[in-house]
Amino acid sequence: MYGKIEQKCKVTRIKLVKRVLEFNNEANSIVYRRLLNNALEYECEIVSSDAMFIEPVAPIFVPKQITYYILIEFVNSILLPPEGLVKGYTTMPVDIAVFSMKDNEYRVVDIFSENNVKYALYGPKNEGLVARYYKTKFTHNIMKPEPFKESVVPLEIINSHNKWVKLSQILLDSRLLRFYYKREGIAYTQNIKVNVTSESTAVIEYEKEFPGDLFEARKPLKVSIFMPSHRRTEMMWGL
Amino acid sequence: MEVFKPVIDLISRISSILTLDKILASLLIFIIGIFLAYALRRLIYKTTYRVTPLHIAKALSNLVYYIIVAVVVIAILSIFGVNVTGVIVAGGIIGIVLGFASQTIVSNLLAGIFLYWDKPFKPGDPVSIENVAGVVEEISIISTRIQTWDGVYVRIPNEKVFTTTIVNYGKMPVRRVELKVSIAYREDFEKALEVIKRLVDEHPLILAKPEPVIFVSELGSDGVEITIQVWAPTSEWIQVKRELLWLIKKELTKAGIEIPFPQRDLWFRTPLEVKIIEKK
Repeated sequence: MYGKIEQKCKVTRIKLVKRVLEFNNEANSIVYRRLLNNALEYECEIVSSDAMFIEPVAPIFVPKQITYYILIEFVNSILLPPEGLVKGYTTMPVDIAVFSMKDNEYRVVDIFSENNVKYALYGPKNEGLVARYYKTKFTHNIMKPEPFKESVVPLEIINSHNKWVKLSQILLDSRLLRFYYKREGIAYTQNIKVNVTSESTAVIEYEKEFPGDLFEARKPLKVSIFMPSHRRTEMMWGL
Repeated sequence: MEVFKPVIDLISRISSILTLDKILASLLIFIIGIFLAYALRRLIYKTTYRVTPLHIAKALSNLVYYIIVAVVVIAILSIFGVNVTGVIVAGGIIGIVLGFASQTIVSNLLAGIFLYWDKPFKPGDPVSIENVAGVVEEISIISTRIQTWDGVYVRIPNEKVFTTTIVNYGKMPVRRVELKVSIAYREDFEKALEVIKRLVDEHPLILAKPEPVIFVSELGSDGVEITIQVWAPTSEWIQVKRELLWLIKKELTKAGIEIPFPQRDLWFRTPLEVKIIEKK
């Protein structure tokens, strides 16, 4: 489950996909453990925490943060005529973060992934971007994502170019992504608009809010001076 | 009254030098000169700090400021009849002497400026310069400081850096890792390939794109040589290189695939006689 951990007994165990998270109340602190096949992967003691949360976050933290970008490749390419528009859905991977809350201040306790993590280069070898890589499908109907592994991405694709274009991948900036979730482990991002501007370029725009009635996930990355000034990502090296 | 004569003489000489027009002229030169020096210092600093490091911009603007101040002082002295030819000649000689003495410093300084514009590396980049490999700590106006892989501090004059070959390992976003592994001739190549491919696919820091390449590169004297070429983010290159070879060795051994060591089969033209001597 995503959201606030209800710690009714001394030990609370939460099974995700392959991993089990254990929250052990010890006097003034909580001992947090992450287990894989009953073997301890990570342990941390949190002193005087008000609440603990499990939430989906951008898939850029495992095994360590080396990029802000996510490259989603579609197994089914999309062909769009000039001025063509299509609305649909895709999925992207999510990492899972455990947050500790104290006096409205939160701190990341742990970030891990239940996915097989892979990165790829988007663009040329001399100036391209390393991005988290994920292969998935584009569908017209909302698909059920794999709980604790995927997030639904609502997409609107517009071809502003005067020729037919083929779209087989999109590049997302995790700093502009927002994640929303349902308690049962289903995550969503806000609506994303892909504006194809030529045969090899596109502009990705991010809506501010998700229209549905869901919980909004916290962000492990705090707002910094390195935040992009525009709420968009430019794809310059192929679609 | 004779006692005050030298004082009166001095006052009369001073008053002959310090006429109102001379004082006004020198005051005007001083005000204009200092204003010009300040304005130029500010202008040069503002225009150069965008294209050069801060310390270069500061040094350059200060240099111009002091040159103008020196010119103003010489001009004021000449108004009051002080012979400044000697000062200028002395200044010139000092300049020539300093010029010869600071030839290397100047060439290092110019190299530093050119390096800044050329930007072959930046602080934090892993580089190899003049057979010194390490991480760039600082690029100053005169020299470049490197911390070698084993933690030694090396200072290289910029003149040398500018004229030598620079290898920057961190300039590109990705780097290729190449490994070679041999398997015995009797082993199943397809199986070995499958094991290596699975390892490469499962490793999170080996990039999916550019795609990894695994191929037989040589039929060697001891075994079949397999070359593995994979790409990794530049910052993770060394970790991937360190991990992958060991993982391949471990997984091939687990799969029962023999990695051969150098060996020779010797054949004799004539059969060898073997004598068994029994010891009593």
